[in-house]
Amino acid sequence: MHMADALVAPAVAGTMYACSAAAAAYSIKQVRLETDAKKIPVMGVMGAFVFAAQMINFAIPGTGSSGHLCGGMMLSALLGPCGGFLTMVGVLLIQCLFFADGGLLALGCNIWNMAFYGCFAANLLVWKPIMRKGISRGKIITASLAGCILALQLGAFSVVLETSASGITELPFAAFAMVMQPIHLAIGLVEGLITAAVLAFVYEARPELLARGGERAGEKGRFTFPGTLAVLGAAALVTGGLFSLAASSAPDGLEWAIEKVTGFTELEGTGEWEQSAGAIQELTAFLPDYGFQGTQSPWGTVVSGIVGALAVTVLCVGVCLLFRFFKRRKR
Amino acid sequence: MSHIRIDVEGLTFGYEKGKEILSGISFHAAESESVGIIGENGVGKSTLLKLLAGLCPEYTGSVRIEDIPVEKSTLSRIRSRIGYVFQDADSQLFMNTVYEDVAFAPRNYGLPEKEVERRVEQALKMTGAEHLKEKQIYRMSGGEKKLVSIASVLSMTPDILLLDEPSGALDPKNRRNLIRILNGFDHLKLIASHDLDLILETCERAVLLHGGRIVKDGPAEELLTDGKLLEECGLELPLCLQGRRTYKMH
Amino acid sequence: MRGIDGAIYEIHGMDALAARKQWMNEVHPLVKLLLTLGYIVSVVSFSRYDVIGLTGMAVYPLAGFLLAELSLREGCRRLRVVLPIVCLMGLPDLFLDRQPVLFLGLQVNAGLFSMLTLVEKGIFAVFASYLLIATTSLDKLCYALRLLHVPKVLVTQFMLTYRYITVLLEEAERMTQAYALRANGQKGIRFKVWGSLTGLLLLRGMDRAENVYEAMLLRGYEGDYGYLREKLPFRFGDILYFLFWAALITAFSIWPLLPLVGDLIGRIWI
Repeated sequence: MHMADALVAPAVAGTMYACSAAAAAYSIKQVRLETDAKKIPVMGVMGAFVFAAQMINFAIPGTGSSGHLCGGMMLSALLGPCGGFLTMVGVLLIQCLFFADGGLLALGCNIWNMAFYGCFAANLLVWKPIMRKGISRGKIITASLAGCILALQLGAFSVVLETSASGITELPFAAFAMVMQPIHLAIGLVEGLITAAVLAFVYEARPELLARGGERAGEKGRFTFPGTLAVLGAAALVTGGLFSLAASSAPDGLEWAIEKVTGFTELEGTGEWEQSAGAIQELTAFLPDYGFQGTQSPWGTVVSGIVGALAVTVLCVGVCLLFRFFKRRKR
Repeated sequence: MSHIRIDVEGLTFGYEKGKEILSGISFHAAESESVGIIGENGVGKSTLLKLLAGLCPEYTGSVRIEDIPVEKSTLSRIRSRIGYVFQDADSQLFMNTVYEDVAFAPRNYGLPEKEVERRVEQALKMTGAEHLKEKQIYRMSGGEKKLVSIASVLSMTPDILLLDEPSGALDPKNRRNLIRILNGFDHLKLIASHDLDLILETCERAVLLHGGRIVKDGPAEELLTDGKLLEECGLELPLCLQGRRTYKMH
Repeated sequence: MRGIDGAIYEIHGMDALAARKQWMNEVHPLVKLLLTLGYIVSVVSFSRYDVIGLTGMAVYPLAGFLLAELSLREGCRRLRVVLPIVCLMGLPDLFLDRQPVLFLGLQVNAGLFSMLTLVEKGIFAVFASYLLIATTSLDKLCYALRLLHVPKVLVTQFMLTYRYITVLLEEAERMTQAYALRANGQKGIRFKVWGSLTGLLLLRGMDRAENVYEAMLLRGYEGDYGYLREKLPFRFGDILYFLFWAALITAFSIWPLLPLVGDLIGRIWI
């Protein structure tokens, strides 16, 4: 579910960075490190654990494939939503930097899609309500399954939203969602089962770890129902904003290009070309502002581009190698 | 007798109620002594060290370090005088590079950066680990990590050194090096280990724990040659006294 | 899917690169971080059909790889996660974006160009991030994050996670290996042991966290975690480096430099 940089427009990336930053700021305030300094090493090592655990392949019975652990859900059960969220931020940043899993620009999106839904939505809407009257093995399994499915559905849907809002693909919104949601239902189910198995084991071995999850952390401002609603409302607002962005930017690309070409042809007055070629347009049309100040290019724009690319490559490599040579000599 | 640094009187402790690991422990240790704490696995050697460092505050009895009782309010004063070397060097070395890790304690005690640097250099020199200064910790071998973990507490110039199983997972050469470093530290040190050969080479006094109590406290040489007593407490004579090495001597 | 040992190997390799004595590694981390972000933003801002203009942006990663003496092959290997996704996302364009376009005398779908730009964007962004992390150690990167006022808690937690990733990965590897050696050739971890194997890893992690916390306490930790020994000053060279690349990236994203250069050559030639 990690989004790559290429799949987000800067505006969408910026919006999601802001959302994730707000969630992080809130979490940092809640975790109250002054009163519980222990939280930092626990979060740090647990982040490393999630990272390692996600590398383990779990064989899915009856199929040849394998599944992985859902980090957000599990962390929030152990560390509370805020601690879990901050830990996931660290994990995602490392995945992005060291493994090229998700991009730097898309990090805000990825934090929101995976860490926010995994920790806050799954924990506050599923885990906490189910565990309100005490923990049991059965409840852990139910909550893990439901929580993971919810987190992955929300996450997948926001991937669809963010991609569409970025105007990256021609794929219609509905079709994209129709592909993403069922796939992530299956993934959510598997991740839920794995998470349930791990949490059930922890519950048997060291019940106190789960019992104090969140509470111990000094997360005094525990979510009330209105609080949860407010967060969800904010999320809905953001979603709506993205949706409208999607609606407004989707037709942008091509129409803009066509507009450009009509302006071009009128100016140059090559009406006959337009007629003979019908709807066919030359690639030039798609290149912004490549009118060479009225003068005729000796070879077409495309060829110019290719020749230019070759020349720039040669120049760039040459200069770099020279630079390297002199830097080395100096040493 | 010289200045008493550790004073334990009637110490009783258990992680769970009713299951006491240590009961009625009393002993003293003075400046520049080196004391080996020996006993079989799980007898409470590490727990005793942790109690001295104030990591398990809910005990009964009295524990005084440099005449300061170990309590919540005195922890930071006490800890600034104690260097505690963990059994697992990976737990102790939590920074990314050697320099950063060795500099952690002096920085936390608010020393100026110049002094921090001097302390780091000095600590690394004492452990013979100067060449590792810029290295990434996870790229080091077990022996190197051990050296650095000792350096990381020496940089806070402790008056008391507590070592938990320092020779575990060390090869003979690194072990020899460790003994050299330990013998070079001339303040009080407590070494908890079941490596009796190490104790014999580094400590003049030994405390034998068994069943939550101190069975014997006396000169290391005397205690560690008492095969019968050691056997009763689940231990064996040091290897060098078991006669296995005799053939090597020729 | 890469294995656990692959991940360990990757981290070690990255660290070795960032630890080299190389002038690119000495450039101020904040400069490199900002340039990387700025570059990625400019790349993804390119119009969907502007293949030629976007190609010009290859200058930054190309020069970076050459100057930092990085292996292009290693960079390409890092594309294996991103490239399939990006291609998959671009593929529908090929069929849905049917606007015919004349390209070197051939009639093709406009979707071809939008797919190409998408793939190019994916590649360039990954290359630029690789350039950053391969020339900047994590400590320095964290320093840059602090300069950008990223909260200390987050940076500290990030550093600790990074420190213990290899430790826990090695532990996980030992456990899965021990499992595989007695599992009679089956792939992956069987359903029955899902919980216990991972759960044990988790408990060990928790115990380790406890020890780490104690080790920190014993060395005077009281919620503050000092790092990076000295202030890294901005040198003249850093500023020059920043200005040079900022200007070049801006130029390439505003003007169609490649066709202009080609045009110029054409004029001189013909």
